[in-house]
Amino acid sequence: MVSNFKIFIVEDDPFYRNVLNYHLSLNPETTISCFETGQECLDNLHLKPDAITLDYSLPDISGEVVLNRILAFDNQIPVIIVSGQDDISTAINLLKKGAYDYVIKDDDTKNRIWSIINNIIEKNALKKEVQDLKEQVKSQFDIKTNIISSSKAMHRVITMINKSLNSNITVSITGETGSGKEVVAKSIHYNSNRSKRPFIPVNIAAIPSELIETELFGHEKGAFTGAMARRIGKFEEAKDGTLFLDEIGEMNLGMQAKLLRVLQERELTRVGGNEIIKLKCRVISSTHKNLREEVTAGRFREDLYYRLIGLPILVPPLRERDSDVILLAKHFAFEYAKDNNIKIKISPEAQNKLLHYHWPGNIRELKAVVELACVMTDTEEVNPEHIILNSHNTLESILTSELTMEEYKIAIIGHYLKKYDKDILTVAKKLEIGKSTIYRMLQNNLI
Amino acid sequence: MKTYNITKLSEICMGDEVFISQMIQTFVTQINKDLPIIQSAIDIKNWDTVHKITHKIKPSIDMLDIASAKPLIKEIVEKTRNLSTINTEELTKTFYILKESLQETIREMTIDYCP
Repeated sequence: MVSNFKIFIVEDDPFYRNVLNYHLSLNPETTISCFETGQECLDNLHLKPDAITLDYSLPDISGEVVLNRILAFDNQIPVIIVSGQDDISTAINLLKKGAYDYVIKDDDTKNRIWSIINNIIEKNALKKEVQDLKEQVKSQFDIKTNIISSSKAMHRVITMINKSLNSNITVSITGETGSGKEVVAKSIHYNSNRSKRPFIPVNIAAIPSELIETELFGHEKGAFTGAMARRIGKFEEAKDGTLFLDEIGEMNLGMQAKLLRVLQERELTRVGGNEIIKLKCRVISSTHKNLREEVTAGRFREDLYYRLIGLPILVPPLRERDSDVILLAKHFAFEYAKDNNIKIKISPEAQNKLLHYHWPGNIRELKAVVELACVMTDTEEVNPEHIILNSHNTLESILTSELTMEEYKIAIIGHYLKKYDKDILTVAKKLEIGKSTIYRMLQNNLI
Repeated sequence: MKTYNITKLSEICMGDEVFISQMIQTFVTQINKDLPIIQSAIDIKNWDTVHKITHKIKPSIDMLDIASAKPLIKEIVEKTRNLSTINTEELTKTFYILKESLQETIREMTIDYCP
């Protein structure tokens, strides 16, 4: 709630002034100042009133002039004109000049002013809330807090993000699934000068190919069966903000041609329409595919590729981000603990287990694994047994553990012994090694 | 039977006697100040001032429901708005009746609220 809502009452008739003052003072949120003349009111504008009720016929300056001067001082102050005249043309004229409302003095005036003031209070509260939320969103996407990293690989990404902030260059983000492409796109948007404008993400892969055109460009009423009303597309919705085309590599060739034309001409027409709409938004695209390869394979238009590439940002996969895994895991555990009002930490052994995994699902997978581990543990500590890694052990995953040759040997023989029920002869045959090697390892308690 | 009625005023302040008394006193002071001004403005045919002041006091007369004065003040406000159609003699007469009526009300108010 807004407390201390300042109202100026400008009224030359002391009787009416007192009535208004008395009535509006009943609202505990308001503070009221009364003025007899227009000049007195103008002299006190520095006190920053939140609303002014202004009598139209004042002894010194006419209401219209006072209104103009108030609005010249600050055009955000709502001015309610209170007048004894029910002259429509005067009312229209004043409303056009920027008066907030026009009220005629009669028995119901006080109630109307009361509800107008309440509307203004409510509107101000909403405005403030929107402002606060915008700030909050912006701070959420502050590069320093939003991108958690200490690795060199990510440092390069952050440098590129910073370079993209002050220009309108098209940005293309590539990276494996779950590596944080959308986070990068949002960081660019919310830290650029477009931050107060809309950020519109469109996942190309999630929209049926026949609907992409109307989704992006909108359509006119009657453009096709079922087009009951005009609909604006994502390009228009983004206005002068940012349009984020996620998974651009999934777009079919026909649509690519249409997109290319729009990006080249910087204008579009809605499906079934003639009106030309100028493009004002910045375009950021992303894909997990290697677009260069897609171009070579003939699945992606070369001209569109060059149009979209702009400033390329390659988001590295999590396995190439060194100790970021731990930083991120701690962050996700902290977030989980905060949401659920508990305390949780990850034991060094568990951290080790996280480090020696190849994370094919990248950060998305890490987040899921950490959250699951937080659920699985019964204490305040996450141990290795709580960390459940779902991915299949590919060759790559084995190699990420970075063991010595001897250790790999032991691991492999151990695995085979388990599989073939400790049948040393079969294992030796399968691995094409001497059975004595296995015996020696067993003797030395290595397996 | 009084010439004025405080029902509307009482509604606004939910029967706050102190406020009603203050408002009546304000009204008395204001009318006592404004009536001579209007009179002298009529004498010198300064219709603009007559219009402004009668226009100013009209809402308070409406609010205090002074039945005899209501149509008269309305007539003066409306007639002085358009300067070309003013009939001095008629207006002077109307104001005279208005003045008498308001003075009667003020006498009553003074007895009721300012003993």
